[in-house]
Amino acid sequence: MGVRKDGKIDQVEVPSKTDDPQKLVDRMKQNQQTLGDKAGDIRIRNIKK
Amino acid sequence: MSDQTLRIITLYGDIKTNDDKWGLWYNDAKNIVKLLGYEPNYFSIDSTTFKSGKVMSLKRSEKKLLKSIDAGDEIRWITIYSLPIDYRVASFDYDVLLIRGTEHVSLLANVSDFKNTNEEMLLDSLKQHIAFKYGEIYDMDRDECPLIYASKANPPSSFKTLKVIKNIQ
Repeated sequence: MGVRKDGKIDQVEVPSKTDDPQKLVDRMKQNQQTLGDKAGDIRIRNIKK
Repeated sequence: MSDQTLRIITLYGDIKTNDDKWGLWYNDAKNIVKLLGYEPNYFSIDSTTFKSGKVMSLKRSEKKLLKSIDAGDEIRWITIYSLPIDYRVASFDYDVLLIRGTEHVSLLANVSDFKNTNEEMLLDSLKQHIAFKYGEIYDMDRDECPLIYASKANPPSSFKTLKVIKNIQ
């Protein structure tokens, strides 16, 4: 997670080989609901070796 | 080789988690993958009895998937993939991904693979699986994970490579 200057909290996930992207999106959307007004964007990062 | 740019069709509307159309979705999704020139070889599912959150091989686990469908489980989504044999990360390396979820039905594929397909036929096929309200056809870099956009988790302005091709009413 990262906190912006305006207090919004962004979420980033780095998926494993077999993680399903919709599962990750759903989990981060649930976190957004918990965070309420502080919820920022979500990202799924592709780390290329 | 997979394109960096994906073309996506996303349809919004109502999908019942306990309807009897999951088996039909499974078969139609596999047929659409084949229509685009690929082999459906992986899937994921989130249901009352089967919720790993992982992509699984159809060859190894298809029976478990069919068992969940046949048991009438409440299913939140089923995703069908065509992944290369040597894929590194399923979330980014697919050639085709089809998902029927609680909020949308989406088809994601290499933009070049749409050139020889009948768009209207694809739309008609996808509309069979949702009480259609509206939709969109758009292009996006696969690294931006278009399912985030399809799930309306971020505002459209946050996607740098989003290019809306058509609104569907």
